[in-house]
Amino acid sequence: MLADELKKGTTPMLIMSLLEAEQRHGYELSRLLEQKTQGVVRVHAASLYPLLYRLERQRLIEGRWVEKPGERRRRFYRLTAEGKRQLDAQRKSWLEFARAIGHVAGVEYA
Amino acid sequence: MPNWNDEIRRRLADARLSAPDEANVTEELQQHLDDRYNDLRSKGASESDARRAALEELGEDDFLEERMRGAIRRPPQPIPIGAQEGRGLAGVWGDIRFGARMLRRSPGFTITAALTIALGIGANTTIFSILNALLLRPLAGTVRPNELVQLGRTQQGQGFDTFSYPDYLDYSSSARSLAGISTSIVIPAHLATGGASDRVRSELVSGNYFTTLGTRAARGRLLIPDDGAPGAPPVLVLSHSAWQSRFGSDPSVVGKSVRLNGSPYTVIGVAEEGFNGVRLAGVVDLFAPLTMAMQLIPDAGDMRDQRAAVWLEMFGRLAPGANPAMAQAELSTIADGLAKRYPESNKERGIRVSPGLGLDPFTRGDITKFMTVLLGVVGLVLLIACANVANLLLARGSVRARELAVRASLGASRSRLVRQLMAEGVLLALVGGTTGVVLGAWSLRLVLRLPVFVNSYGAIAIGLDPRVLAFAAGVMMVSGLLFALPPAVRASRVDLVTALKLGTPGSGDGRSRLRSGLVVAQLALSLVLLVAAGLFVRTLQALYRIEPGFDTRQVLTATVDAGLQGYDEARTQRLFEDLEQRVRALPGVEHAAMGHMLPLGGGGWDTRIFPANAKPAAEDPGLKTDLNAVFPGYFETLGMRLVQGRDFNAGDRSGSPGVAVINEAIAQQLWPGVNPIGQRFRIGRGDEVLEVVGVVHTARYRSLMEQPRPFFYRPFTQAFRASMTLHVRVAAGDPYAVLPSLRRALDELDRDLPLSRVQTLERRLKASVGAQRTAATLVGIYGVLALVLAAIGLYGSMAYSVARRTREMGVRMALGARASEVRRHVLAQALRVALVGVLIGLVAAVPATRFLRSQLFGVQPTDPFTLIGVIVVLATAATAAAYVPARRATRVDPVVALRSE
Repeated sequence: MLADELKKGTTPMLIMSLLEAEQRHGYELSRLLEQKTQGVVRVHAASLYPLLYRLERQRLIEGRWVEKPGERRRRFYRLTAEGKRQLDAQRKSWLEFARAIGHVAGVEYA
Repeated sequence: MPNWNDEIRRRLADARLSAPDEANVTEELQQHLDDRYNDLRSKGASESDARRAALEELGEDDFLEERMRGAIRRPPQPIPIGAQEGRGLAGVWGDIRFGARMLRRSPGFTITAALTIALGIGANTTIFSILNALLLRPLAGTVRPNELVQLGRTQQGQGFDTFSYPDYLDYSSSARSLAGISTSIVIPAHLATGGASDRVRSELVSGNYFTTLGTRAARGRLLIPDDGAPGAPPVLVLSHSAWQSRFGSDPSVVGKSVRLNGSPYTVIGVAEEGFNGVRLAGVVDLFAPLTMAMQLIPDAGDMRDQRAAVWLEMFGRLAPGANPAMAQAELSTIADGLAKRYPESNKERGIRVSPGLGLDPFTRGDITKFMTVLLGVVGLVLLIACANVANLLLARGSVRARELAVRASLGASRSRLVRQLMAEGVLLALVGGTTGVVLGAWSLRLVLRLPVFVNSYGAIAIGLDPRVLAFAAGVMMVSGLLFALPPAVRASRVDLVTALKLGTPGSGDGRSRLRSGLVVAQLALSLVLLVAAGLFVRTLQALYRIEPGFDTRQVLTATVDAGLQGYDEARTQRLFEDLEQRVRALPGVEHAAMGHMLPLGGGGWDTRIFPANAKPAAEDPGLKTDLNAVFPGYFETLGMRLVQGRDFNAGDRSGSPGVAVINEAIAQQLWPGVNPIGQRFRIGRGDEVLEVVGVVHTARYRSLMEQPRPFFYRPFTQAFRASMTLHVRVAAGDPYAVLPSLRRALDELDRDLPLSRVQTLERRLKASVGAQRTAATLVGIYGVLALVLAAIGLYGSMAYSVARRTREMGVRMALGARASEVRRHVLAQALRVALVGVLIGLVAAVPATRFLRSQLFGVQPTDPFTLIGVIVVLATAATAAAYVPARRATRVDPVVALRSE
């Protein structure tokens, strides 16, 4: 399915976008993804964490354990400077591509 | 709240995470499931529903493990820059360790690159081992070999020949620049130990032979001047190999009595291992005093006292402080004095001093030429291998661009990055080189089975020694630098911003130009090699097309030397006639006849002839021709066509008028347009005159490659030779089958006479083009190796470029490009590269193959057949190498292509 493939391909960009404004933990990310895409993109934990670790390995995001008084420690992720550059570049090329597809396929770019 | 711990750990069990990683991952997932569970519960789900839904987060059974594998691989630990940027050894060691780690991480790449290098270095090791044994290694069993010089007689300044015994004595007594001059001659002899008699190579040596060389004895003692004194008992020294092979390393061999050419000799010692005389080609079995020469050389007359008889080889050891030039100057002066004193024999005689023993300067020159060609060939193979590995490293460099950029951004200096990449290259060279040396040693064993080595240098120990290993190490280091430096410099020139973007450097960047350049170079080099290989194959073809002028099939030859056994002329003649008769009667034998010279034996027996009608003028050089002494039936046995006249017959006896059968070449030169039958010619300037009774077709005598050579035959009865070769043509089957009955026939006549040089003519024909066959085989094999390497290079390059352009291909196809168009596009790109390679290769091949001219026969270096053939082969290989990536390009799924970002 095209939609599934597209989802897989774009999830990293979506996650990076979600981390752009502030640092978040994994569960929060999965909830936000589901909410903001109105259920179109839903990522299981089994996919989400490996993806996070991969992005971390690529130094696009950075995770660290944060302890708050009275709470369990949680791992928060934030976008690195490198990740930010990458995100901008991906946004740009995605836009270009979507426009190109739009022109050819006759789909209006929303 | 449920405990997820066990479930999570069970699913992670196979992901092989490190303990801390597993703890962290488990903790994080546990929290996630807790959160999910709590969420669902707060929305009113039942406990069991919430639990099931939370567990669904972990996906199918092995989904998590599959995802996790690879996600947490430790990033390369950047070397803490301040801490380890050590100077000197510590820094280098760090670089090497780092390089080893990088290589271990990509075994596929490492194995491919190391094997490629191994092939290149292996080929060089093999060829250098041979070159080393033949040209570099000093003669075994001598001390301070750099002081030893060979002496050769020149005639009008030309050649490198033997001396007379009186000349030897004069040089030896007057030369001051040489600490000693020794002389020797190698002759065949019959050695009888107990029952068996065998033909051996014996070297008759002057009394100071072993002291000049510095050879030691393995058993007993070596020869000294007193052994040659008049009245001294006859003694001999065995070579170590003869002691092993003929006496089974008998420890009590010293003092044993043996018979040499029928006379008793006492063995007084065994020479040290490895010493086989002063010539590389041909192992000597025993050494005897030169004064025994008269006993061992039949029909010799008293050559000792004749200055005209030149039969001895000479060598010497430089006196302390002398050099070859000084020796040359002094000996030339002595030679001039001798020429003045003995003009009738020594006029225009000179002497040449040549450093080192083993090979005369002319043979050394020929071998040097041959080995240079081979070294050039394997050098090209190595260059191609290096280009291939450089290409692989470049591809890897692009993949690793980000890693390098990260390290650079953390402050690693450019020189440090280059050094690290170089360390990787050097390590690769080391691994590949070591494998290569093993490969080289193995392939050397195969190469040494090629005819030229078997025929001429079979007895020389050719193998790996410290010099070969040093050479291999040097080649290893140089090639390491060669293939690692360009990619390292290239890769270290990182553009941080571009590289850190996960994105797509365009396909037209400098790196890909360099890569294409390397592929072009590889194709060009392998074209040169293939052209060389093709030319050698064509040479071989041309040689095999030559009609030798006799029928080589089903002919066995074997030499009988009655002279060595002390037969006189009458007895010899009886023996040969009896033997011939008996052999003709053997079952399976069609024809048999004896002849003195063997066809295509390399050498010849020559003389000058003049028409008999007038006494030749002093300035008339006459016609230089080869000759042979044969029995009646010789031409029939060899299948030679008698064009005119008759064969010899029983009427041609020693008292009857001298007769000859000439070949067409003589007929055309001496009597053009005239019937040569009945014509007479004079041998030399003497009075001996022969009448032509027959004419045979001109054949090839000394070598297949020779120009038509004047040649005549005399009946054995009128041109006695003590050593004759039996030529036996069998009706069918293997000629060797008659050998046992042949031996029996000879045994019945004389048990002590051995049959020597047993061979089929077919083998002899093949051996005579051994050098060409060897060259064609070696250059051919290395040419194909080069082609394969170049094809792999092209394939790798194309595959890589396709992989990098996956997105472009995907978009093209998404936008409606047809598969065939994309395929054609990729193929065209590959063929453009191939075409440039072919063109450059052609331009390079023309001067390169000119070096081969001396090794070629019947084909021009610019042979169009070869050139076109090679281009076709190369184009086919290039197309094949590009086809797979081209196909892959068309299979690109647009969606996958987009995701590759």
